[in-house]
Amino acid sequence: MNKQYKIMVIDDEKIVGDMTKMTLEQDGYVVETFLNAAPALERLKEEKFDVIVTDYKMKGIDGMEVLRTVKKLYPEIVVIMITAFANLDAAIEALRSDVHDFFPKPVKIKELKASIQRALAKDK
Amino acid sequence: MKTLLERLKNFFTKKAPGADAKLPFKVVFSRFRQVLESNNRALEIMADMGDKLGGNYIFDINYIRKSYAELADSVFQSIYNLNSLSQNKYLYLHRIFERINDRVNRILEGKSPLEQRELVLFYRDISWEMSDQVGGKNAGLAELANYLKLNVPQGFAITASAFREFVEYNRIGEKISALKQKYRKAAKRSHKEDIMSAITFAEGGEHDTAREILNEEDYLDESFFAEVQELFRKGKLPPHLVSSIEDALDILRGGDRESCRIAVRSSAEKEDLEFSFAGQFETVLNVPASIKKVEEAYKEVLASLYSARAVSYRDLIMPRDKPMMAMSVGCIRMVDAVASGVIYTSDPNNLNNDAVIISANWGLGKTVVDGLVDADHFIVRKEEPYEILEKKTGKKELKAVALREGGIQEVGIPDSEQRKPCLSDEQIRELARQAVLIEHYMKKPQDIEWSIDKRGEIFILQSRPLRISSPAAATRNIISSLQKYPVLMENRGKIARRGIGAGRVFILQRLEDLKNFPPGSVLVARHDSSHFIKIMPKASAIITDTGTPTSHMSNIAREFQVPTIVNTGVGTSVLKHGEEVTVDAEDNRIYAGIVKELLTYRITDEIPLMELEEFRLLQKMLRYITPLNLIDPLLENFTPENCRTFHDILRFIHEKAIAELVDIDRYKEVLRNNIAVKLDVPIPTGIFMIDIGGGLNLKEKGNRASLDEITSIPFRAIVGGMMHPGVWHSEAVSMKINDFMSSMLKMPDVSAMSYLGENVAVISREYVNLSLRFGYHFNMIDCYCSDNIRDNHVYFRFVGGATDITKRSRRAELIGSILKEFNMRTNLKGDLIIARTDNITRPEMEELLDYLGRLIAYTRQLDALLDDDSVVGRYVRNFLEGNYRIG
Repeated sequence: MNKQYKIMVIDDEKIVGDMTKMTLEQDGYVVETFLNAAPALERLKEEKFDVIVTDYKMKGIDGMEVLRTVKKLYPEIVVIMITAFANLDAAIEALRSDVHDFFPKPVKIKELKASIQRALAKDK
Repeated sequence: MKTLLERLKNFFTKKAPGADAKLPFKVVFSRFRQVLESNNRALEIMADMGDKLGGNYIFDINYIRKSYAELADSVFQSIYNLNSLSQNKYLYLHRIFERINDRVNRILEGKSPLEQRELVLFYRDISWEMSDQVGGKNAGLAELANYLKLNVPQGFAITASAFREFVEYNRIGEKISALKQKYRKAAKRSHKEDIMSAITFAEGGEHDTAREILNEEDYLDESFFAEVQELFRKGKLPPHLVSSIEDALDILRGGDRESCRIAVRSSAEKEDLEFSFAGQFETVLNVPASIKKVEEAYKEVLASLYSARAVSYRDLIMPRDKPMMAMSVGCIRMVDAVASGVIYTSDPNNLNNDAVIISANWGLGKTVVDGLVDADHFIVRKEEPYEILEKKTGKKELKAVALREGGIQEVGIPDSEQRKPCLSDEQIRELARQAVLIEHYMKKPQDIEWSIDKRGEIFILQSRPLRISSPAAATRNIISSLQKYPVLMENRGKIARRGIGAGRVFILQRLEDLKNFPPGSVLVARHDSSHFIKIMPKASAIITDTGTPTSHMSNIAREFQVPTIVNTGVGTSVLKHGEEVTVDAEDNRIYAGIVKELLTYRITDEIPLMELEEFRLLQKMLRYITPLNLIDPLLENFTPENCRTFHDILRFIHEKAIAELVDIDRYKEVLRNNIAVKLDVPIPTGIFMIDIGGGLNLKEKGNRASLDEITSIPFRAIVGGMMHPGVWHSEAVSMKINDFMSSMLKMPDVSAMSYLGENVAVISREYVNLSLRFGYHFNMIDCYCSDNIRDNHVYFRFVGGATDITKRSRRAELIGSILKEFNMRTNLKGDLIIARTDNITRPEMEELLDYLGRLIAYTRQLDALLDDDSVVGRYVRNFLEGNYRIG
């Protein structure tokens, strides 16, 4: 990996951020985690990220709102949605709104990694 | 879970209508199916939960809660179904269920699984369930002693309850709050700025961020912690804690009141085997075993929880929204050490994984641990017979000794002793053996402290994961270097437990060979079996030809963290007994030889999952769920009372559900209420069939059926075997006169079954229960044979005969020997033989049933020919070679 890609993880369950960070850092990504969306969106003003992995259902600003905001302000950032409430409607809504991928929890790490790789390959 | 408990109450108060009447066989069979279904569902959820511990998934607490709720529901269903099948024979299982469910729910609520208030616990009484109560280090040492049966010094734990009582008695919580207040005031200026920015965030609607800023406790610096330490040092022990410790010391001192010395060691709540700050807290060595001295040392160890180092762990030790972390303490007898040292079960620098490194010096271990001396080094190969590869004797100028008045001191070593190795070859090998045992059990390289006393007895003092500094980038790109290793198998079967393991192949021919399994080997077997639990702690990997990731065995493999690939189809034929292989159960590949790159990768690339709260929670819950204690249904401990986990319950249920089907009394009713169809084949079997669903497809209405018309998978296979050319001997074997005489005497155990009168097969598409009576012997096969491996079982019973008991027993022995060759678990008592097997694929099942059919036919009259023991072996060989001639 020549370039160090930056990945942001937003999930109100701490373990999701922690584990994603642990596993993605193994592959050489730089990962920052957030427990809610507001400070995460704030952070985007300071720093460029390549991928955002966000939970769908969160208190306050939810995953769909993160997606809409990001797509409006930073259309080049890839957004991957994960959710414990894997219902079809949510998936359809998310996919229509330009989400790169959608994973039900528990998320298989291999698949998440592959999805990120695909997104970044497209990016080149 | 409330609904479950409500249902439970209803269940106990309500008696099923007509509970005493025998159930019709069709009902029995459909309830049997229900048991299988709920059991399977439970095993699948269990497998799924175990799989999450492997680190392949990102999951959260919601997943754990939801999965557990589903699992508990399925197990409850299974118990309910078994009781409706057996007409409430096993109501006690509900009690066991309730107990386990209660404990798991306590864990889910963040509590200790057991409600415990003991202030002091001896190591021999400590089980893993008490790890919250005694701390990680104590629990670990107790596990080495109680589970691995290693020699650890006698000792006891002063528990977390004792800590909390001490804190409460001295009002330390309130005093800490006051101290915080004091420091906050001192830091007022910066705090003011915090408040301002918090207000800004709060106005912007970001209340969480605002709250976080206000809760910042950066002003709690080292001097704050120093003051907290003083609170502990100056505290007083509550009187009943003093008397509990005094009583324990009394026991520990035993005969030597004067000379007994103990080590007082930290064992903090989260200072477990995996946790990052293991070994950070205080240990006070060589404390005279008097209450006054122990009290002092105890308080010193408690105070170390708030040492300067603790600042960086502040959130763990003093979480804002939870009670402060508890510190348990271990009091263990000091070993009067002649020599001591450290063992690394791997070389932490070049990650050499085939040898252990022992460092040793005279006296206590401190000089070795602190690197104060040019110690002896021994390198020992990690497999039997533990060959010593290298001996380097250091120039040992110093040693640590225990002082009579307490404390330890470093003293010079006389010149004559400095260059003398401090261990004999035998001791070196024994240390290596124990180290390898611990590493295999822990599944990670270990850093072990040990001592040897005057009598040459080895004591293990501590074992923790070896910290390995990983050459970071080097491990990631290993793919290219893997190409030089020949691949023996690739993408065969399914991964049941991920991971990487290496060792010599041990091909399992018969289950009883498990006792010869060398530690560190790779088990390769045709079928999986829950009996593998015996070797799990020492297996490097497991490969099976058949099996599923949801079987009992796979669940145990996950429990013991053994890399496992099942259902490879070819494992036993491709891999050679004794060859060295590396099993990569990450990418499903088996390499010839030991692939160091992969083993290195395993050690350095593993994510420290156990630092995550949810992983620890799930792991703790699973200890009530997946371990299997009930292995052999033939053993006396196979009772509801001995079920300790959900897995035990499920295993018990499966076995007893089969026993209900096998119940011979049912056939009276079956015969009475059903129309029997006669088996119409060229051999005179005299078998009548009763079809309870899908077992027959008659071309025309009538009461006879040919082989073609049998659609019952297992029955067809058996009949096929009976009709195998040459096995059915229709000529009568001549009976000697005394054989005939004894045949006239009816045996009481057999007469009970004589009402049968006919040979009957109760069949469905996937099931057969065949009862045969040929002359004076009785033969029964109960079998379920489907495409779902886990449902499949064969139960075989043979008893009686017309000849005298010696000959009958010889025939039983002959049958037993043959059944063992087919890998059936057999139990022989006189002329009664019971054999069973389960968990094998449909094609294998059909093959086995075909052989059982041949065996039934072949052995029909064989007893009369078994004049002496020597002929038994001959007939066994003949049968196995396909030579079915008799006489």
